Amino acid sequence: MGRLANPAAPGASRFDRMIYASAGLNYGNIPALAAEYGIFDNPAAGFVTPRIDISAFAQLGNPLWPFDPTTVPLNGLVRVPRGRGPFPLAVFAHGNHSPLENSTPGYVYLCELLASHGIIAATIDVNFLNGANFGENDGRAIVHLEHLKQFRVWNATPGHRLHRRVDLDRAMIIGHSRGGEGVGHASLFNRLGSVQPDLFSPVVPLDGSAGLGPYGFGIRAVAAIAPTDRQYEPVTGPTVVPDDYFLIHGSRDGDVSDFEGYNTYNRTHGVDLADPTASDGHFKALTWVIGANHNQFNSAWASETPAATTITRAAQEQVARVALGALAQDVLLGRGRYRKVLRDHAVATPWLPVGTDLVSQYQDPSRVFLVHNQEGLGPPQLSAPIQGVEANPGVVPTRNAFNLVNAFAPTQTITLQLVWNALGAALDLDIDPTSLPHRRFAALALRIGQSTEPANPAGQDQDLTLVVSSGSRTAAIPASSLHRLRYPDDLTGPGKTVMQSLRLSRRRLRRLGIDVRDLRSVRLVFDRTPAGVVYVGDLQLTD
Amino acid sequence: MPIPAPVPVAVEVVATRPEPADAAALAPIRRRADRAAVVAAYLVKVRLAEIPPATGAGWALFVGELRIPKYWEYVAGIFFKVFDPQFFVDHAGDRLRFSADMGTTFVDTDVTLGPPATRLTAELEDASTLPTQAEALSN
Repeated sequence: MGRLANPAAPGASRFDRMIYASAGLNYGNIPALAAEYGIFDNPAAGFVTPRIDISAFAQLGNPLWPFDPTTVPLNGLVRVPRGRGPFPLAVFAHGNHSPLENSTPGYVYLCELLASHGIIAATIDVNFLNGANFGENDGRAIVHLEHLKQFRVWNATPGHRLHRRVDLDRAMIIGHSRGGEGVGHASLFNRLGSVQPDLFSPVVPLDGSAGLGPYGFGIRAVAAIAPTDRQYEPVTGPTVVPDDYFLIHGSRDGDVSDFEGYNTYNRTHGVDLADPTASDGHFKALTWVIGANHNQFNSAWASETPAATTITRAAQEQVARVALGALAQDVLLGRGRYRKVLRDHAVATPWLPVGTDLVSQYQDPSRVFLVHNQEGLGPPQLSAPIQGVEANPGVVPTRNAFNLVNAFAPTQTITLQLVWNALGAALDLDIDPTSLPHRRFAALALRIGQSTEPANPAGQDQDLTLVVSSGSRTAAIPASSLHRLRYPDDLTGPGKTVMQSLRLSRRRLRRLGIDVRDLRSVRLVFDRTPAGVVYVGDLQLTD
Repeated sequence: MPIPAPVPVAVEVVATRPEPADAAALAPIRRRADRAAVVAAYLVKVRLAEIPPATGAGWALFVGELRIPKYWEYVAGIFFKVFDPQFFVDHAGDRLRFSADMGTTFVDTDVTLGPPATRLTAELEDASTLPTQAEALSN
């Protein structure tokens, strides 16, 4: 495998720029809307779309649009690579913003990157759901899926420019803010034949019988940029995203400042307590961007935070290009080597602006938890079917559903808090090696982070030593040699403990004489700082 | 939470003429023989001191303990739609509240949902006498 090329660099594909829109909008005749939405009055030849009826999901707030919820348009900006295809498809959706400003063009910078690599990429108009509304994110999901359906129609239409050029089995949906919540619902709805939007609404067919659907697209990944969570909640309970899931959020977000998406992330691809080794076959990953805010992910939105407190727009867009470019290379273009970027953000360092500071987590579909903490609030333990003994000399361990990121909603996910007050304290996990899986996993991974609690010196990294034993060999690895355990970015409040995935590769362990199939113990030894508090999400053998 | 909770100054329930899009939601109510005011779509208009900015974050609206699934902006505030008049019986006098954390904590308001107006409990045989929804939301 050669060195990875920068996924944020433009590719070699030339592409065409098109506007698609529904007929008869005549925004030009509406003074309040003409300047922003007039571009949709003149769609490209062959790119005139039908209207859709979303009235079962949404009303339209102010301003008065030239249509009602039974006839909302399918408008978007699309970049189409030249060539025969078929090309994968990526569709972006904005979130809530002033409806008097067209939010759609804000992701053209990402569409053009993806198109240059051979991906049809569109950014869609959901502005008619914007305003002082709330709870409408199922509607955003339906609009998003109906845009994918429109691409399927074009793909199946002989003579159309997109005939047989769109690969609907390689699709990615990306949403920002409320659109980021919406893509999670879209991922769920994509698999449904009908849905009851809420307890007061009738069931709505999504099988095409009443105009909406059918869907069933090959969604390879769902990407949420600074999303909200649970503003819309299905009657079946909070949405659990069934597809591969990627989350990116800024630490200086001045709008969705509570990192609600972390709750979505926690719910997604969680451990099945009835069968903890079972995997649903999907990965999830998150990137926490220190200094990034909310609006600068959309190039059309003015920044909501003072410039002095935030990384530059150019830097933030570059981080988005790297992260989403790598994700697209992996899931849409079949270049699985780009998964490395999700597994360990250090891989991306050469492509990021100097000084970029990230925290990242990754959970592979192929993993066995040594510790996942979801058994309950009792003392820490090795997680079944892994057998062994836990001890914690000098450490006070507490398992609880800690609200680590101030996510403004109760969390159900249990995390292990470790508090120590003297050098040499430790969490010891003695493992029965016969309970380990026979399979050779690629890495031992620990998800861990520090907090702003007083025991952690403000502004300073925390550190510990990972001591791993197999057979008669023991290796000691400073956590800081894998990644920083940085002090939370706490400009606007108590700070958010976003844990970092620390991956010890099998190759590195082998060089140290450690065989991951014969692990005898893993110890977290607090011998590098005299006191502190850290939180442990899980410990896994993983690919 | 970067934006403060909306501040209601009044709540008004307006019986309006159903629109074609309301048919599916009204169908089960029409089927119930013991329901009187089955031909109206009720708009609950919550007049606000100030229209909140359109942001990603927002506040869920509760009437008493009930979370209103969705609400929408109109010129003077926010509104939501009700089809079953029993709602106004069940929630008469309930306080409007806002929550930013899915109902864990609340910002109470001074506004309560009033008892059903005569217009709501009376037979509304002729929907054509009701205002359209656009008319009801125009002020």
